[in-house]
Parts: sequence; C-alpha cells; structure tokens
Amino acid sequence: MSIEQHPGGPPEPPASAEESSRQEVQQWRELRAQRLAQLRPESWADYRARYLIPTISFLAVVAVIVIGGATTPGFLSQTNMLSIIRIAALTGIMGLGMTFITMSGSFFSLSSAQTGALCSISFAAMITWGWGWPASLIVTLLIAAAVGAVQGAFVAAGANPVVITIAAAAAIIGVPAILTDSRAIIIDTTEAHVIGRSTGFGVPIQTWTFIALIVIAQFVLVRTRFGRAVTLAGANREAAKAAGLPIARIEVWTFTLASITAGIAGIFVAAQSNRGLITNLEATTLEVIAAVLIGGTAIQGGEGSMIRTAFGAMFIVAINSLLVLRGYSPAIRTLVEGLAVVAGVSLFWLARGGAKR
Amino acid sequence: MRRAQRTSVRRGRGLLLLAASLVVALVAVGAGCGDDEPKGADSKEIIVFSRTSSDTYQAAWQRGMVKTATDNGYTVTFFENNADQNEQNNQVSQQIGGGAEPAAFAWMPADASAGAATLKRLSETGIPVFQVNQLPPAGTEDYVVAYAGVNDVINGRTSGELIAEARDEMIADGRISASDPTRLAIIKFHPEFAASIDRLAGMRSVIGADIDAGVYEIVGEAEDAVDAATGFDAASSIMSRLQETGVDIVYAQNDASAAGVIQALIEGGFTPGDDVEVIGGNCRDDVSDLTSGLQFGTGLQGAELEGEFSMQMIINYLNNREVAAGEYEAPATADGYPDWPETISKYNFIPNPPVKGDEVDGYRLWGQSMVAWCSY
Repeated sequence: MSIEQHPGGPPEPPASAEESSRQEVQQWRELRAQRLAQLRPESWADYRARYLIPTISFLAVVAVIVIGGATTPGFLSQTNMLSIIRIAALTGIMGLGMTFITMSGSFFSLSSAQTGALCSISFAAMITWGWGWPASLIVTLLIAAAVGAVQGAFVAAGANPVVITIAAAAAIIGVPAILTDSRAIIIDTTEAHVIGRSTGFGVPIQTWTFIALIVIAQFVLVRTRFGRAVTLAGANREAAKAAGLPIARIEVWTFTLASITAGIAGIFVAAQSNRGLITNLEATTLEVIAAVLIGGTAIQGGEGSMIRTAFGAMFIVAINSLLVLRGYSPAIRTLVEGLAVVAGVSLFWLARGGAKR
Repeated sequence: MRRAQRTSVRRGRGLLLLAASLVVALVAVGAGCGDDEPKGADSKEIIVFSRTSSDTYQAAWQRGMVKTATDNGYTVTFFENNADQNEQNNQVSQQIGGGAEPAAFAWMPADASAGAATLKRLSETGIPVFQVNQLPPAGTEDYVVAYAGVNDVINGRTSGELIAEARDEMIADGRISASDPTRLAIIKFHPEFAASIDRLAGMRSVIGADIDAGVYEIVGEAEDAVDAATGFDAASSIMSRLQETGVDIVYAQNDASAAGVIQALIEGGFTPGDDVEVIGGNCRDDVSDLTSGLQFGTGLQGAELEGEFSMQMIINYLNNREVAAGEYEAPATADGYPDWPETISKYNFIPNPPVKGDEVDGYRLWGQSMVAWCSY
C-alpha cells in the first residue's frame, strides 16, 4: 500500500520548495520518514490481521482434512465429519467465550470446565425436579452468568485472572460435590433429549448452536461498541483507560460471557448423556485454550477472531480424530496437540513480525 | 581435711549420676520389654490415602468404608489427592512427620509403581498398612499387610465370559454366523491406567485364545472413556470404521462409558440389543440401559460394596493380627453378608458376578439389590 493511498498519510510538501528554507525541507523529510516508518508496519499489520492469520488457521484445518482423507479410510465419511463437528462444537462454544477474555487482555479463565460441570449438574437436577427443559436451561444459564460475573468483578478489582479462576475452579466444583455427595444426577426422562440428541438436516443441534454462536459472537466483537472496547482494552489497556472505556465493566462482561458459554456446553453434555456429573467436561480447559491459541488470538489480547477460534477447535478435534483412526495412543495424541499449540503460537508470532504481543 | 571433703562430695555426685543413669536405663529397658502392644493398637482411627471423592465411584467407596468402620467403632480420616502421586506422597510425609499413630493405614495409590517408595516409608512406621482398590505391583507386596478390594483381572474375566455368552446367543438367534469372525470393538479407560490393563488381561484370559485363532476380530479400539460423555466421544471417533467393517459386540470398561457408547451406536445407525451387543465392565451410575435391553450385561462391582469389604478386612486383621498366605474371594451370597474369615488372606477380593440385563431386577448381592449397589 503506497503512502498516498493510505488515509491520513504524511503531510503534503510545501507548495513551493523555493519559498522554504533548506531547514524546513529537511524537517519535512524527517517527518515523512517517521510517518512512513509508522505506516508500513501498520499496513502490514492490517494485511496479516485480515488475511494472513485467518488464512493460516483455515489452511491448518484444510490440511488435516486433506491429509486425513488421503491417508485414512473413513476419515472423510459423513459419520466422521459429523462426529468431528459435534465434538468440536462443545470445545468451540467454550472457546468463543474464552476468546472474549483473551481479547480483553485477561489471558484465560481456568474455571471454564468446572463451570460447565456445575451447569451440567444444576440442569440435570432441575430436569429431575420436573422444572421442564426451558426453565432449567434459563435458570442454569443465569447461575453460569452469576458465577462468571463474580470472577469478573474480582479481576476488575485488580486480582490476577489466572489466580482468581484457579481458586474459582476449586470453589465451583466443591459446592456441587458437597450438595450431591458426589453422586451422579441421572436424568430419568427423555425430556432433555430435545437439547442433547435432536438434529436438524442430519446435523446435531450442538453444531447448529455452535454455528449460530460464532455468527453472534463475531458480530458482537466486530460490530458493537462492546466488542471494539474489548479489543482496545486488550490492545492497549492504558490507552483504553485514557479514552474513558469502562475497563471494569468490560472485565465483568467478558467473564460472564465465558461462563455462559461454558454453561451451554455443560447443559449439552448433561442433556446428551442424561447425567449431571462433576467430572463432566473435566479435561476440556486446556483444549479450549488450545483452540483459542491455534486460532491465532494474541495471548495478551487485542487481536483475534471468533471464526478463527472455531477453526482452532475444528483443528484440534480433526487431528485427534485422525490420530485415533490411525491407531495412535492418547500419549501420542496429547503430544501432537501440544506441538500443534506450540507450532501455531510460534507461527502467529512470526506472522506478527516477532512482536511481543 | 578440705581435700577429703571435696573427694567425698565428688564421689557422692558420681554415685548419684550412676544411680540416675541406671534408673533411666532400667526405665527405658522396662518400657521396651513391656511394649507388647503393636503400634497404634490403642487408636480407633484409620487413615486412608485415596483418590478424590469428586469421582462418583470414589465417593461411594468412601461411604462404604465409613459405614463399616462406624459399625465397628472406628473413625476414618481421608486424605484425598487429585490422581496425583506427588500430592499423595506429600500427604504421607506430613502424616509420618506429624507422628500420626492410627490403628491402620489404607493405601490407595494414584500410581502404585510411582508411589512404591512412599509405601515403603509408610510400612516402616510399624503401623499396619493395607493396600486397597489397586493391587500392589511386584516387589511391593512386603510393604503391605494385605490387599483388600477389587481384582480388575477378575472383573475383566467376567467381561470375557459375558462377551462369549453374547456371541453364543447371537449365533443361536441367527444374528451372526459361527463361521465368520465375531467383530469386536473395545472402548477402554486411559490405556496406562492399571485397571484398564488388568481388565484387558482378564478379558483376554477368557477369549484371548479365540481372538488369536480368529474367532473374534478386533475391528476398533478407542481410549479415554470413563463416563457417558467421554464414552460417546470415544465411540464416535471410531464410528466411521465400525460402519465400514460392521461390529457385533462392543466391550466398554465400565457401564457409564457404555451408556455413551450405546448412544453413539444408535446415532451411527446400529441397534444395541439387536444387531450389536454392548458389554459393560462394571455397573455404574444407573442400570436403565441394562433393564431396557440396550446393554447385554455387566459385572456387579459396587463401589460402596468394595469400600465396605476393604474396611471389613482391615478390621478383621486388627481383631486378631493374623494373615494367611494366598487369596480369598468373597462369595457372592444373595441375602446377606458372607461369613467373614476370622483370619484374612494376603489378597482379599470382592466378588464380581456377571449379570445379564434380564437378571438385573431380581439380582441380589450381600442383602442388597443390584440397583442399590449400582446407583451412585
């Protein structure tokens, strides 16, 4: 992109060089050089944010699918593809909420899995109490929102988000463990199947929900004042404060949204398996974080996308499926997942020009 | 004169010191000789190092331990770890360092091999140590007075018997042909989990020769299935292969994961109980899949039952301090607890009877219905 094409380019040269002293010309040249130095990386940043990083995320998923399809019988079958997008939906839904937190500069929530487990138990309990699935769903999501808002309030007050969410994870899982005496809550009716087992056009409802949430979350992130405030808060916290953005409110909302998405995942698990368990979604926290990172969201915030997080979730589940079908052990699969995160984060770091963010 | 006085005083002091030393030595020797009581004999507390009760099996197991201990006048203190051997090692160090002297220690390691050194330290306290839930690995048997609990090899054997029975029924019904290999899929716990390894060994002890002879063909394996959600994910991950090859019998290592497997099979176009039979490793959570015919059968390994049995064996030992060599497998009596042996064995196992779906409603073990033992 040339300097002339960029809006707000460098100042125009004096109308007549003869009328300017040599000193003024020199000053103008220095100013232009400074402006060019500012603009060139920025245009590159525009390019890589808009095209390069999303392209890498997308190509990573495509590469796994192409390699899997070429090397592994059954990988590209309709059943396996549906299985991948169904499993990816839970990781992805939680990832969307997590992306808001990461984008805002608060790194991650380490209590997402426990919030999901809590919600699976509360939803299952309410169904068994005969509340019906709509009321059970709404009340469970309100509980999730409250759990997230409390954590967000602590973070807004200056607490470290990692420490707070670790502590919250213990507390969140402890309460239902005490209340249920660590027993499974069995849903002995088919009432929850409308949420857990129904399909539309052969695609599971979890996947449709995931797709709808990607659209909504991306719209909120890009097209709303809240979304832009989240991005700015993560990109430059001091500038955001100076601009008068309500940082505390942003923290509370991002943690609330992340908690709600974890709650949705918990409800889906309970409805699908007919069980509320404190071990539900137990191992998902790291997968969710991996999805966000492989999606190219900057760890320190300010840059990211919901669509890319969705690609990240798809990538993790697809590569896991490929390795299972090829008979690799869980140890190998965990290793590959870890390497993918390292490779992804390194690649995005290079794509960002090796900047600190 | 003064010198004589000083000498006399010195002699007196010397005699006094000698007398005092003799008294101290006699007291010490006397205390040692008279200590016939084993260490911790006066205590009515049993300390248990176990995995976290956030797991429903562990929680029910603990309830069983507490029930039997309370009935016999003992209290139980649990030190739980989150499947972390290092955390458990630290807990043991704290108890030893703090001078704990309970009547007995019960040791449920997170990782038996990795915890061997800690088990040795525990045994060196002189307080009886019992291993529970997970068999002691080779070389650590001498560190424990006895083992009391589940035998995952027996559990796997039960599953192997059920697999063979399901095959026979399917052949008899004309659902599969005896001349074709029976297509078997296996949904496991984490493959490095000792229970998974032992259950597979037990299963292979029954049908391993048939697998090798081609009577069974293993058409798919998936891991990391411990509950309904992970069971569903594991089965879904190999569903395309199962659709391609077909599958006659699926063995899941517990019934919770079997529930997820059944749902994945239904969504994959199979009909459990008709074109495919599902065998669960042990009953868990609920029995609705068994009673509805979606699941062929399971092993009755109740968590609370195991906890009660382990504690009973510890208390029996504390009553007479004797251990017989060899194994004891508690009988699967229907209407009440069996007559416990006065002298426990080195290895004491709970029963693990196979139960088919149509037997569940009337099945009783140790005075309780199967539904009661298996719902937790």
